[in-house]
Amino acid sequence: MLKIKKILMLMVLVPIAAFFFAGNCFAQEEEIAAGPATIILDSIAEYYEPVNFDHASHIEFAENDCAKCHHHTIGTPSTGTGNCNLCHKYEASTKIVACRGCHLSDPYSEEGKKIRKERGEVYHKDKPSLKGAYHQFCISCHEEVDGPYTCDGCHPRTEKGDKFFYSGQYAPKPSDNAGGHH
Amino acid sequence: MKKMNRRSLLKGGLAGGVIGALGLGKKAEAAGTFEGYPDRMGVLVDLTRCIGCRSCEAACNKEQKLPAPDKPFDDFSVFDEIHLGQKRRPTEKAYTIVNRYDVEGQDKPVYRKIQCNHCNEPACLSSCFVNAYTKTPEGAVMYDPKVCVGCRTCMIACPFYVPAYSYSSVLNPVVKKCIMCYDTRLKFGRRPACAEACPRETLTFGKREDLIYYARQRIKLNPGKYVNHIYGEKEVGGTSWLYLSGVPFEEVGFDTHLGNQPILNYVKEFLTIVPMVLTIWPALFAGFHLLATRKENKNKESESQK
Ligand code: SF4
Ligand code: SF4
Repeated sequence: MLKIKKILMLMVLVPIAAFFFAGNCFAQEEEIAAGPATIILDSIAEYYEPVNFDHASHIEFAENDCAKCHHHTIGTPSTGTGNCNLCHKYEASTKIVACRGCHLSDPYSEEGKKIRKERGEVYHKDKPSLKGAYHQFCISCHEEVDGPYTCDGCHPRTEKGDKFFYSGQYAPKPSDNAGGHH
Repeated sequence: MKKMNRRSLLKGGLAGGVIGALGLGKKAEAAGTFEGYPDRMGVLVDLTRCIGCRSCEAACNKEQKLPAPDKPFDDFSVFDEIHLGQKRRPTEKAYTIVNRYDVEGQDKPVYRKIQCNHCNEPACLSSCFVNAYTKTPEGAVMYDPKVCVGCRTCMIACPFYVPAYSYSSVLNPVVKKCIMCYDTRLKFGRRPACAEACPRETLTFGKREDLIYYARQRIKLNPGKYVNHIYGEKEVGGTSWLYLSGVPFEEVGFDTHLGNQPILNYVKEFLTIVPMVLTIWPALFAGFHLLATRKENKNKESESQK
Protein backbone atom coordinates (compact mmCIF):
# COMPACT_ATOMS: atom_id res chain seq x y z
CA MET A 1 0.00 0.00 0.00
CA LEU A 2 2.70 2.39 1.09
CA LYS A 3 4.76 1.45 -1.93
CA ILE A 4 1.96 2.22 -4.30
CA LYS A 5 1.56 5.59 -2.69
CA LYS A 6 5.25 6.24 -3.03
CA ILE A 7 5.16 5.30 -6.68
CA LEU A 8 2.14 7.51 -7.18
CA MET A 9 3.96 10.35 -5.47
CA LEU A 10 6.97 9.81 -7.67
CA MET A 11 4.84 9.69 -10.77
CA VAL A 12 3.40 12.98 -9.76
CA LEU A 13 6.49 14.67 -8.46
CA VAL A 14 9.20 13.60 -10.88
CA PRO A 15 7.63 15.29 -13.89
CA ILE A 16 7.13 18.48 -11.88
CA ALA A 17 10.67 18.45 -10.65
CA ALA A 18 11.91 17.78 -14.17
CA PHE A 19 9.71 20.55 -15.40
CA PHE A 20 11.08 23.10 -13.00
CA PHE A 21 14.65 22.07 -13.54
CA ALA A 22 14.11 22.46 -17.26
CA GLY A 23 13.58 26.15 -16.94
CA ASN A 24 11.50 28.73 -15.22
CA CYS A 25 10.51 30.84 -18.15
CA PHE A 26 7.25 29.21 -19.11
CA ALA A 27 4.06 31.14 -18.94
CA GLN A 28 1.91 30.48 -15.92
CA GLU A 29 -0.72 28.65 -17.97
CA GLU A 30 1.78 26.04 -18.98
CA GLU A 31 2.87 25.58 -15.41
CA ILE A 32 -0.68 24.88 -14.48
CA ALA A 33 -1.02 22.33 -17.21
CA ALA A 34 1.98 20.52 -15.77
CA GLY A 35 0.80 20.63 -12.16
CA PRO A 36 -0.02 17.37 -10.42
CA ALA A 37 -3.68 16.37 -10.56
CA THR A 38 -3.81 14.68 -7.18
CA ILE A 39 -1.42 14.73 -4.26
CA ILE A 40 -1.62 12.22 -1.45
CA LEU A 41 -0.82 13.80 1.87
CA ASP A 42 0.19 11.02 4.17
CA SER A 43 3.57 11.85 5.67
CA ILE A 44 2.20 11.84 9.21
CA ALA A 45 -1.16 10.11 8.80
CA GLU A 46 -1.85 8.16 11.98
CA TYR A 47 -5.11 9.18 13.59
CA TYR A 48 -6.53 10.14 10.21
CA GLU A 49 -6.53 8.61 6.74
CA PRO A 50 -4.26 10.28 4.17
CA VAL A 51 -5.76 13.19 2.26
CA ASN A 52 -6.28 12.82 -1.46
CA PHE A 53 -5.72 16.40 -2.35
CA ASP A 54 -7.34 17.35 -5.63
CA HIS A 55 -4.74 19.78 -6.89
CA ALA A 56 -6.41 20.21 -10.29
CA SER A 57 -9.65 21.59 -8.89
CA HIS A 58 -7.79 23.79 -6.45
CA ILE A 59 -6.07 25.45 -9.39
CA GLU A 60 -9.53 26.31 -10.64
CA PHE A 61 -10.66 27.50 -7.20
CA ALA A 62 -7.59 29.74 -7.04
CA GLU A 63 -8.42 31.09 -10.50
CA ASN A 64 -4.98 30.11 -11.75
CA ASP A 65 -3.29 32.32 -9.18
CA CYS A 66 -0.71 29.84 -7.89
CA ALA A 67 0.77 32.43 -5.53
CA LYS A 68 -2.36 32.15 -3.42
CA CYS A 69 -0.93 28.95 -1.98
CA HIS A 70 2.65 28.74 -3.24
CA HIS A 71 3.74 32.10 -1.87
CA HIS A 72 6.71 33.37 -3.83
CA THR A 73 7.95 30.08 -5.26
CA ILE A 74 6.35 30.38 -8.71
CA GLY A 75 7.78 33.78 -9.45
CA THR A 76 4.80 36.06 -8.92
CA PRO A 77 4.68 38.44 -5.97
CA SER A 78 3.68 36.59 -2.84
CA THR A 79 0.22 37.14 -1.49
CA GLY A 80 1.23 35.65 1.83
CA THR A 81 2.18 37.42 5.01
CA GLY A 82 4.79 36.61 7.55
CA ASN A 83 8.51 36.28 7.80
CA CYS A 84 9.26 34.85 4.34
CA ASN A 85 7.91 37.95 2.63
CA LEU A 86 10.58 40.07 4.23
CA CYS A 87 13.12 38.71 1.75
CA HIS A 88 11.26 36.69 -0.84
CA LYS A 89 8.26 38.77 -1.82
CA TYR A 90 9.42 39.71 -5.34
CA GLU A 91 11.72 36.81 -6.00
CA ALA A 92 11.90 34.93 -9.31
CA SER A 93 10.48 31.44 -9.39
CA THR A 94 12.43 28.79 -7.54
CA LYS A 95 13.12 25.14 -8.00
CA ILE A 96 11.33 24.39 -4.79
CA VAL A 97 7.61 24.41 -5.33
CA ALA A 98 6.13 21.59 -3.30
CA CYS A 99 4.94 22.60 0.18
CA ARG A 100 7.31 20.16 1.82
CA GLY A 101 10.21 21.76 -0.01
CA CYS A 102 10.12 24.45 2.66
CA HIS A 103 7.77 23.19 5.37
CA LEU A 104 9.35 20.19 7.08
CA SER A 105 7.12 17.38 8.23
CA ASP A 106 8.85 17.37 11.60
CA PRO A 107 11.16 20.33 12.19
CA TYR A 108 11.58 19.24 15.82
CA SER A 109 12.99 15.80 15.02
CA GLU A 110 16.73 15.15 14.80
CA GLU A 111 16.27 14.74 11.05
CA GLY A 112 14.42 18.05 10.85
CA LYS A 113 17.10 19.85 12.84
CA LYS A 114 19.75 18.41 10.54
CA ILE A 115 17.97 19.56 7.39
CA ARG A 116 17.52 23.05 8.76
CA LYS A 117 21.17 23.23 9.64
CA GLU A 118 22.22 21.99 6.20
CA ARG A 119 20.04 24.56 4.52
CA GLY A 120 21.55 27.23 6.70
CA GLU A 121 18.17 28.53 7.67
CA VAL A 122 19.38 31.27 9.92
CA TYR A 123 16.54 33.63 9.13
CA HIS A 124 13.87 30.99 8.70
CA LYS A 125 12.52 31.34 12.18
CA ASP A 126 9.01 30.51 13.26
CA LYS A 127 8.26 28.70 10.01
CA PRO A 128 5.26 26.40 10.33
CA SER A 129 5.79 22.67 9.96
CA LEU A 130 4.13 20.93 7.04
CA LYS A 131 1.17 19.94 9.21
CA GLY A 132 0.92 23.45 10.63
CA ALA A 133 1.11 25.03 7.20
CA TYR A 134 -1.64 22.82 5.76
CA HIS A 135 -3.99 23.30 8.67
CA GLN A 136 -3.42 27.03 8.97
CA PHE A 137 -3.71 27.64 5.27
CA CYS A 138 -6.35 25.15 4.16
CA ILE A 139 -8.75 25.65 7.04
CA SER A 140 -8.58 29.45 6.93
CA CYS A 141 -9.47 29.41 3.24
CA HIS A 142 -12.07 26.65 3.61
CA GLU A 143 -13.83 28.68 6.29
CA GLU A 144 -14.10 31.59 3.89
CA VAL A 145 -15.22 29.68 0.83
CA ASP A 146 -17.34 27.17 2.75
CA GLY A 147 -15.11 24.22 1.95
CA PRO A 148 -14.92 21.38 4.47
CA TYR A 149 -13.32 22.66 7.66
CA THR A 150 -14.04 19.99 10.25
CA CYS A 151 -11.36 17.34 10.79
CA ASP A 152 -13.16 14.50 9.02
CA GLY A 153 -14.26 16.81 6.21
CA CYS A 154 -10.80 16.28 4.68
CA HIS A 155 -9.56 13.11 6.33
CA PRO A 156 -11.75 10.41 7.92
CA ARG A 157 -10.51 9.29 11.31
CA THR A 158 -8.83 5.92 11.68
CA GLU A 159 -9.67 3.43 14.39
CA LYS A 160 -6.53 4.53 16.17
CA GLY A 161 -7.90 8.05 15.99
CA ASP A 162 -11.23 6.99 17.48
CA LYS A 163 -9.35 5.47 20.38
CA PHE A 164 -7.29 8.64 20.80
CA PHE A 165 -10.44 10.78 20.92
CA TYR A 166 -12.46 8.30 23.01
CA SER A 167 -15.01 8.40 20.25
CA GLY A 168 -17.14 5.95 18.25
CA GLN A 169 -16.78 2.48 19.72
CA TYR A 170 -14.35 3.90 22.31
CA ALA A 171 -16.77 6.53 23.63
CA PRO A 172 -17.01 6.59 27.43
CA LYS A 173 -20.09 4.74 28.69
CA PRO A 174 -22.31 6.72 31.07
CA SER A 175 -21.58 4.22 33.86
CA ASP A 176 -17.85 5.02 33.58
CA ASN A 177 -18.34 8.46 35.06
CA ALA A 178 -20.46 7.59 38.06
CA GLY A 179 -18.19 9.85 40.10
CA GLY A 180 -19.12 12.88 38.02
CA HIS A 181 -17.36 16.22 38.11
CA HIS A 182 -15.84 17.66 41.25
CA MET B 1 -20.18 43.32 48.28
CA LYS B 2 -16.73 43.64 46.83
CA LYS B 3 -15.72 40.46 45.11
CA MET B 4 -12.72 38.92 46.73
CA ASN B 5 -10.89 36.13 45.03
CA ARG B 6 -8.74 33.51 46.65
CA ARG B 7 -5.56 35.37 45.91
CA SER B 8 -6.52 38.75 47.19
CA LEU B 9 -7.66 36.96 50.30
CA LEU B 10 -4.21 35.51 50.68
CA LYS B 11 -2.53 38.75 49.78
CA GLY B 12 -4.63 41.13 51.78
CA GLY B 13 -6.11 38.99 54.48
CA LEU B 14 -3.55 36.47 55.51
CA ALA B 15 -0.23 37.90 54.48
CA GLY B 16 -1.00 41.56 54.82
CA GLY B 17 -2.92 41.29 58.03
CA VAL B 18 -0.68 38.98 59.96
CA ILE B 19 2.51 40.44 58.51
CA GLY B 20 1.38 43.90 59.39
CA ALA B 21 0.66 42.78 62.91
CA LEU B 22 3.98 41.02 63.24
CA GLY B 23 5.97 43.74 61.48
CA LEU B 24 7.78 41.32 59.14
CA GLY B 25 7.01 43.04 55.88
CA LYS B 26 10.53 44.03 54.88
CA LYS B 27 11.85 40.58 54.05
CA ALA B 28 10.34 40.40 50.61
CA GLU B 29 12.65 42.90 48.96
CA ALA B 30 14.97 40.51 47.15
CA ALA B 31 12.16 38.79 45.28
CA GLY B 32 11.69 39.55 41.58
CA THR B 33 15.37 39.94 40.81
CA PHE B 34 15.97 36.31 39.78
CA GLU B 35 16.26 36.30 36.00
CA GLY B 36 15.42 32.63 35.73
CA TYR B 37 17.16 29.78 33.98
CA PRO B 38 18.54 31.21 30.71
CA ASP B 39 17.67 28.27 28.46
CA ARG B 40 14.26 27.50 29.81
CA MET B 41 11.73 26.36 27.29
CA GLY B 42 8.17 27.42 26.82
CA VAL B 43 5.18 27.32 24.53
CA LEU B 44 3.72 30.23 22.61
CA VAL B 45 -0.05 29.87 22.31
CA ASP B 46 -1.49 31.83 19.39
CA LEU B 47 -5.21 32.16 20.03
CA THR B 48 -5.82 33.40 16.49
CA ARG B 49 -4.84 29.94 15.24
CA CYS B 50 -6.86 27.75 17.58
CA ILE B 51 -9.94 26.10 16.10
CA GLY B 52 -11.08 24.31 19.23
CA CYS B 53 -10.51 20.82 17.88
CA ARG B 54 -9.48 19.51 21.33
CA SER B 55 -6.68 17.37 19.91
CA CYS B 56 -4.42 18.83 22.59
CA GLU B 57 -6.77 17.63 25.30
CA ALA B 58 -6.80 14.13 23.84
CA ALA B 59 -3.02 14.12 23.51
CA CYS B 60 -2.60 15.18 27.15
CA ASN B 61 -4.95 12.44 28.29
CA LYS B 62 -2.94 9.83 26.42
CA GLU B 63 0.51 11.08 27.39
CA GLN B 64 -0.26 11.51 31.08
CA LYS B 65 -2.27 8.27 31.19
CA LEU B 66 -5.28 10.09 32.61
CA PRO B 67 -8.64 8.38 33.19
CA ALA B 68 -11.24 8.26 30.42
CA PRO B 69 -12.95 11.62 29.93
CA ASP B 70 -16.63 12.11 30.77
CA LYS B 71 -17.34 12.90 27.12
CA PRO B 72 -15.45 12.05 23.93
CA PHE B 73 -12.78 14.56 22.93
CA ASP B 74 -14.68 15.28 19.74
CA ASP B 75 -17.81 16.23 21.68
CA PHE B 76 -17.99 20.01 21.42
CA SER B 77 -20.90 20.39 23.85
CA VAL B 78 -18.23 20.74 26.55
CA PHE B 79 -17.79 24.32 25.40
CA ASP B 80 -21.26 25.09 26.76
CA GLU B 81 -20.61 23.51 30.15
CA ILE B 82 -20.77 25.72 33.21
CA HIS B 83 -19.45 24.46 36.53
CA LEU B 84 -20.23 26.57 39.59
CA GLY B 85 -20.91 29.54 37.35
CA GLN B 86 -17.65 29.17 35.43
CA LYS B 87 -16.41 27.70 32.20
CA ARG B 88 -14.36 24.53 32.40
CA ARG B 89 -11.10 24.50 34.35
CA PRO B 90 -8.24 22.03 34.37
CA THR B 91 -9.04 19.21 36.79
CA GLU B 92 -7.28 16.23 38.28
CA LYS B 93 -8.59 14.23 35.32
CA ALA B 94 -7.70 16.77 32.63
CA TYR B 95 -4.54 18.83 32.98
CA THR B 96 -5.47 20.98 30.01
CA ILE B 97 -8.79 22.10 28.60
CA VAL B 98 -9.95 24.39 25.81
CA ASN B 99 -12.81 26.87 26.24
CA ARG B 100 -14.82 28.73 23.63
CA TYR B 101 -15.60 32.44 23.82
CA ASP B 102 -18.06 34.29 21.63
CA VAL B 103 -16.55 37.73 21.45
CA GLU B 104 -18.57 40.68 20.24
CA GLY B 105 -17.50 41.95 16.82
CA GLN B 106 -15.83 38.63 15.93
CA ASP B 107 -17.49 36.49 13.30
CA LYS B 108 -15.73 33.40 14.60
CA PRO B 109 -15.56 32.12 18.18
CA VAL B 110 -12.22 32.43 19.97
CA TYR B 111 -10.77 29.39 21.70
CA ARG B 112 -8.42 29.41 24.62
CA LYS B 113 -6.37 26.55 25.98
CA ILE B 114 -5.70 26.49 29.72
CA GLN B 115 -3.03 24.58 31.63
CA CYS B 116 -0.29 25.37 34.14
CA ASN B 117 1.65 28.35 32.83
CA HIS B 118 4.90 27.20 34.42
CA CYS B 119 5.68 30.52 36.04
CA ASN B 120 9.22 31.85 36.25
CA GLU B 121 8.66 32.39 39.93
CA PRO B 122 5.84 30.02 40.74
CA ALA B 123 3.51 30.95 43.55
CA CYS B 124 2.68 27.31 44.11
CA LEU B 125 6.35 26.65 44.73
CA SER B 126 7.00 29.59 46.98
CA SER B 127 3.84 29.07 48.97
CA CYS B 128 4.59 25.41 49.66
CA PHE B 129 6.27 25.19 53.04
CA VAL B 130 7.42 21.59 52.62
CA ASN B 131 9.03 22.33 49.23
CA ALA B 132 6.99 19.84 47.25
CA TYR B 133 7.49 21.93 44.10
CA THR B 134 10.57 22.52 41.92
CA LYS B 135 11.21 24.61 38.83
CA THR B 136 13.47 22.65 36.49
CA PRO B 137 16.12 24.37 34.35
CA GLU B 138 14.03 23.37 31.31
CA GLY B 139 11.20 25.48 32.64
CA ALA B 140 8.72 22.94 33.99
CA VAL B 141 7.20 23.36 37.43
CA MET B 142 7.17 19.91 39.00
CA TYR B 143 5.46 18.53 42.05
CA ASP B 144 6.53 15.70 44.35
CA PRO B 145 3.57 13.90 45.92
CA LYS B 146 5.86 12.15 48.40
CA VAL B 147 6.65 15.44 50.09
CA CYS B 148 3.21 17.03 49.91
CA VAL B 149 1.27 17.10 53.16
CA GLY B 150 -2.01 18.03 51.50
CA CYS B 151 -2.45 21.51 52.97
CA ARG B 152 -3.66 22.94 49.64
CA THR B 153 -1.91 26.31 50.04
CA CYS B 154 -0.63 26.00 46.46
CA MET B 155 -4.18 25.82 45.15
CA ILE B 156 -4.94 29.11 46.81
CA ALA B 157 -1.63 30.72 45.89
CA CYS B 158 -1.70 29.97 42.15
CA PRO B 159 -2.85 33.09 40.31
CA PHE B 160 -4.27 30.92 37.51
CA TYR B 161 -6.18 28.45 39.70
CA VAL B 162 -4.28 25.51 38.27
CA PRO B 163 -3.37 22.86 40.86
CA ALA B 164 -6.24 20.42 41.30
CA TYR B 165 -6.57 17.83 44.01
CA SER B 166 -7.18 14.18 43.48
CA TYR B 167 -9.21 12.75 46.33
CA SER B 168 -9.14 9.22 45.02
CA SER B 169 -7.40 8.32 48.27
CA VAL B 170 -8.75 10.12 51.33
CA LEU B 171 -5.57 9.86 53.33
CA ASN B 172 -3.26 10.58 50.49
CA PRO B 173 -4.67 13.37 48.35
CA VAL B 174 -2.27 14.53 45.66
CA VAL B 175 -2.01 17.62 43.53
CA LYS B 176 -2.55 17.01 39.83
CA LYS B 177 -1.46 19.51 37.23
CA CYS B 178 0.32 19.91 33.91
CA ILE B 179 4.04 19.17 34.17
CA MET B 180 4.85 20.19 30.58
CA CYS B 181 5.42 16.47 29.88
CA TYR B 182 8.68 16.82 31.79
CA ASP B 183 9.56 13.21 32.50
CA THR B 184 8.48 11.78 29.16
CA ARG B 185 9.44 14.57 26.77
CA LEU B 186 10.75 17.94 27.96
CA LYS B 187 13.68 16.34 29.78
CA PHE B 188 14.78 14.89 26.45
CA GLY B 189 14.32 18.14 24.56
CA ARG B 190 11.03 17.08 23.03
CA ARG B 191 7.98 19.29 22.93
CA PRO B 192 4.90 18.53 25.05
CA ALA B 193 2.35 16.09 23.64
CA CYS B 194 -0.31 18.79 23.20
CA ALA B 195 2.04 20.92 21.12
CA GLU B 196 2.90 17.99 18.91
CA ALA B 197 -0.75 17.05 18.41
CA CYS B 198 -2.01 20.52 17.55
CA PRO B 199 -2.82 20.60 13.83
CA ARG B 200 -2.71 24.38 13.57
CA GLU B 201 0.58 24.89 15.36
CA THR B 202 -1.32 27.05 17.79
CA LEU B 203 1.25 25.78 20.27
CA THR B 204 4.82 26.68 19.27
CA PHE B 205 7.48 25.08 21.43
CA GLY B 206 10.85 26.72 21.85
CA LYS B 207 13.22 28.62 24.07
CA ARG B 208 11.19 31.17 25.97
CA GLU B 209 13.50 33.89 24.73
CA ASP B 210 12.95 32.90 21.08
CA LEU B 211 9.21 32.63 21.57
CA ILE B 212 9.05 36.23 22.72
CA TYR B 213 10.88 37.21 19.54
CA TYR B 214 8.49 35.15 17.38
CA ALA B 215 5.54 36.70 19.13
CA ARG B 216 6.80 40.23 18.52
CA GLN B 217 7.47 39.42 14.87
CA ARG B 218 3.97 38.04 14.41
CA ILE B 219 2.49 41.19 15.91
CA LYS B 220 4.68 43.42 13.75
CA LEU B 221 4.21 41.57 10.46
CA ASN B 222 0.45 41.20 10.73
CA PRO B 223 -0.88 44.66 11.51
CA GLY B 224 -4.36 44.56 12.97
CA LYS B 225 -4.32 40.83 13.61
CA TYR B 226 -3.16 40.84 17.21
CA VAL B 227 -3.56 43.01 20.26
CA ASN B 228 -0.12 44.39 21.04
CA HIS B 229 0.58 42.32 24.10
CA ILE B 230 2.26 39.03 24.94
CA TYR B 231 0.42 37.64 27.92
CA GLY B 232 2.88 35.92 30.22
CA GLU B 233 5.91 37.91 29.18
CA LYS B 234 5.64 40.04 32.28
CA GLU B 235 2.55 38.85 34.17
CA VAL B 236 3.34 37.64 37.69
CA GLY B 237 7.03 37.87 36.90
CA GLY B 238 6.73 36.04 33.57
CA THR B 239 5.57 32.55 32.64
CA SER B 240 6.97 29.83 30.38
CA TRP B 241 3.69 29.65 28.50
CA LEU B 242 3.00 32.80 26.51
CA TYR B 243 -0.11 33.95 24.68
CA LEU B 244 -0.98 36.02 21.63
CA SER B 245 -4.56 37.06 20.99
CA GLY B 246 -6.57 38.88 18.36
CA VAL B 247 -9.03 40.16 20.95
CA PRO B 248 -8.42 41.88 24.29
CA PHE B 249 -7.22 39.22 26.74
CA GLU B 250 -9.85 39.99 29.36
CA GLU B 251 -12.55 39.08 26.85
CA VAL B 252 -11.31 35.52 26.64
CA GLY B 253 -11.02 34.83 30.32
CA PHE B 254 -7.50 36.06 31.09
CA ASP B 255 -6.97 37.89 34.36
CA THR B 256 -5.39 41.14 33.25
CA HIS B 257 -5.14 42.56 36.77
CA LEU B 258 -2.45 40.29 38.14
CA GLY B 259 0.36 42.81 37.77
CA ASN B 260 3.95 42.05 36.87
CA GLN B 261 5.22 41.31 40.33
CA PRO B 262 5.79 37.65 41.08
CA ILE B 263 3.27 36.32 43.53
CA LEU B 264 6.37 35.34 45.47
CA ASN B 265 6.63 38.90 46.67
CA TYR B 266 3.39 38.54 48.51
CA VAL B 267 3.56 34.98 49.65
CA LYS B 268 7.16 35.26 50.69
CA GLU B 269 5.93 37.52 53.40
CA PHE B 270 3.36 34.92 54.16
CA LEU B 271 6.02 32.26 54.15
CA THR B 272 8.23 34.01 56.65
CA ILE B 273 5.41 33.82 59.09
CA VAL B 274 4.70 30.17 58.57
CA PRO B 275 7.21 28.91 61.14
CA MET B 276 5.89 31.57 63.45
CA VAL B 277 2.38 30.39 62.95
CA LEU B 278 3.47 26.90 63.73
CA THR B 279 4.99 27.90 67.03
CA ILE B 280 2.03 30.05 67.86
CA TRP B 281 -0.44 27.32 67.11
CA PRO B 282 1.12 23.98 67.96
CA ALA B 283 -2.20 22.39 67.27
CA LEU B 284 -1.91 23.31 63.62
CA PHE B 285 1.57 21.89 63.52
CA ALA B 286 0.40 18.68 65.10
CA GLY B 287 -2.25 18.47 62.45
CA PHE B 288 0.25 18.80 59.61
CA HIS B 289 2.61 16.41 61.32
CA LEU B 290 -0.10 13.87 61.70
CA LEU B 291 -0.95 14.16 58.05
CA ALA B 292 2.67 13.81 57.04
CA THR B 293 3.42 10.80 59.19
CA ARG B 294 0.18 9.14 58.27
CA LYS B 295 1.20 9.35 54.69
CA GLU B 296 4.67 8.10 55.46
CA ASN B 297 3.21 5.13 57.23
CA LYS B 298 0.91 4.55 54.38
CA ASN B 299 3.78 4.69 51.92
CA LYS B 300 5.71 2.23 54.04
CA GLU B 301 2.71 -0.02 54.16
CA SER B 302 2.25 -0.03 50.45
CA GLU B 303 5.95 -0.60 49.96
CA SER B 304 6.03 -3.54 52.29
CA GLN B 305 3.12 -5.01 50.42
CA LYS B 306 5.08 -5.09 47.21
S1 SF4 C 1 0.47 28.53 36.93
FE1 SF4 C 1 0.03 28.08 39.09
S2 SF4 C 1 0.57 25.89 39.33
FE2 SF4 C 1 1.56 26.63 37.41
S3 SF4 C 1 3.63 27.30 38.05
FE3 SF4 C 1 2.30 29.14 38.12
S4 SF4 C 1 1.60 29.20 40.26
FE4 SF4 C 1 2.39 27.14 39.93
S1 SF4 D 1 -5.03 21.13 19.32
FE1 SF4 D 1 -4.45 23.25 18.74
S2 SF4 D 1 -6.13 23.99 17.43
FE2 SF4 D 1 -6.88 22.16 18.49
S3 SF4 D 1 -7.89 22.96 20.35
FE3 SF4 D 1 -5.78 22.47 20.95
S4 SF4 D 1 -4.65 24.38 20.67
FE4 SF4 D 1 -6.57 24.62 19.55
